[in-house]
Amino acid sequence: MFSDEVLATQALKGELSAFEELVNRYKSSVFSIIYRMLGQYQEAEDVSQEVFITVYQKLYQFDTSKKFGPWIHKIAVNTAISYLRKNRKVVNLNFDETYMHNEHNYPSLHIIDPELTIERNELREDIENAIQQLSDNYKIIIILRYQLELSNQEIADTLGISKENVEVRVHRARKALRDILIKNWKKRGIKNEMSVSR
Amino acid sequence: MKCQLVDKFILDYCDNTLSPDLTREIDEHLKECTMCSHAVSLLKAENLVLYNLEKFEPSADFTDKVMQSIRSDMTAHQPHRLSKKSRIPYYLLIPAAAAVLLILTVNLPAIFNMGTNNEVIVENQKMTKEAVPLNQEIHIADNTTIFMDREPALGTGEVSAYSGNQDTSDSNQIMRSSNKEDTSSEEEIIRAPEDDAVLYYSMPELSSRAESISMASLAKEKQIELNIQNMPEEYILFEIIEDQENSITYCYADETNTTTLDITITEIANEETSNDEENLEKARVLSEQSQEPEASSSPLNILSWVLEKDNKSYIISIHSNMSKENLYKLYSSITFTK
Repeated sequence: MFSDEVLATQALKGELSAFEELVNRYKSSVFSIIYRMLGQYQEAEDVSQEVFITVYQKLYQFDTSKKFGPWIHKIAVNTAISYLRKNRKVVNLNFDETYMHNEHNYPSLHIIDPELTIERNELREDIENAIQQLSDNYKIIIILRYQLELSNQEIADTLGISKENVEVRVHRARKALRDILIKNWKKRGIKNEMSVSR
Repeated sequence: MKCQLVDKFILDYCDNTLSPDLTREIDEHLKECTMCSHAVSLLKAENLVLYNLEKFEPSADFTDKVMQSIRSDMTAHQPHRLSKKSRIPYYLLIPAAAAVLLILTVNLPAIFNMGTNNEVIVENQKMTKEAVPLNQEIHIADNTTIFMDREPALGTGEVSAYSGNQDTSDSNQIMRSSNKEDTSSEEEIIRAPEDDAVLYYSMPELSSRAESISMASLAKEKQIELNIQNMPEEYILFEIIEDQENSITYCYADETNTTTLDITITEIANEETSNDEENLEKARVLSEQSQEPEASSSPLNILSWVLEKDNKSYIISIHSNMSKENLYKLYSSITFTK
């Protein structure tokens, strides 16, 4: 089996089957990034296609001595960001408004046991929702780290930042995620002890 | 205290990446602190979910669609949407192309002059001067001279030419100015987030182009403010990260590249700065380095120098993956105000 970089070289020489193999290898990760960022399936599929077409057109810029993964993921991240910039809808704003109205209407207060929450499988849903509400920068970090399970070095290469910086960002993204979780729990009238200390 | 320790290392603790000593210390604490042990269980639960996030797949014919688009675009290398949906006849594209060419030809000198032409830079700096009425400028660099002077002598204390003036400004404000051509009057006062913060910085609007950056170190009183004008114009600012109290990273990106600019201002204690020789030596050591990247990222260029002002010294360093040439250009546009 050829490495990604070899396939990229072959594709550059005009072998479309090599590029097709690259599409198959990376379509899940590229689509995951875009879908998580955009939240709309069809939109995400169209934008993911654009990513691969951009990749094909810019293949001559790819340095084959380097890893292909971070390069294509970087293009996916940047395409998603620029797409959102052009087409951002006011979804988040609506959420904030809803939140503001309900803030003072806690139906009840009780302490939640996190392990119990998992059993009820609510945490999964809560986390999925919280990820959607994260700011783009944190969302990207969470996607790269947990969805694609990239290493700090791979994330650093993808985002063009230092490894240390990746660690800082992962910490902040997790904290932001936790804050949203707690905010959402409060909104639903669930009090968590952590909201006091953190 | 222990709770703070847990708070600080909780992620690493849950990832089992802490030293055995620290892990043991936290283990002990968790036995007696319900709040922290709750925090740890919640985080572990979160980890479990995060590492098993739902996987997404595009539709089954995704690869076919991509390959079809590529095949149909192979000759023209047109963007997907244009070639597939718009289907503009080629004969209509010819006059359009001619018009674009004409516009480019007329504007090309101006485009290329931006950022490289000294006059433009000087103009930008004048703009800063106007945009910062509250702040008294220490020195507005005559760009041509400074650039010539600084390049070879970088980090050798040349910057100490910025000598002190009296502080007359309101210390909690930072001015932001944009160096877009038509916005010389646009300015904004950004409130410092916290009164006791060490470093204040401007927050240019994300997604904006070619903003200037202002930073100020305000540890005890208002001390210095740094203005950078020559931000890479083709890039769009997409992220600002506060790494530490005295450092900030600005990330700029276009479709394929990301440029980061990590700026740190560190005050050096006075006794150290009394010895000029030592300072110069330090500055020289710090001045200009290139770090080879560990993997595929572009090399990190580091530009640092010592700024002496009001009997205080600061090490200012910029870490960036910008080319050295661009970094120097940026450096030449920096002004210090107070």
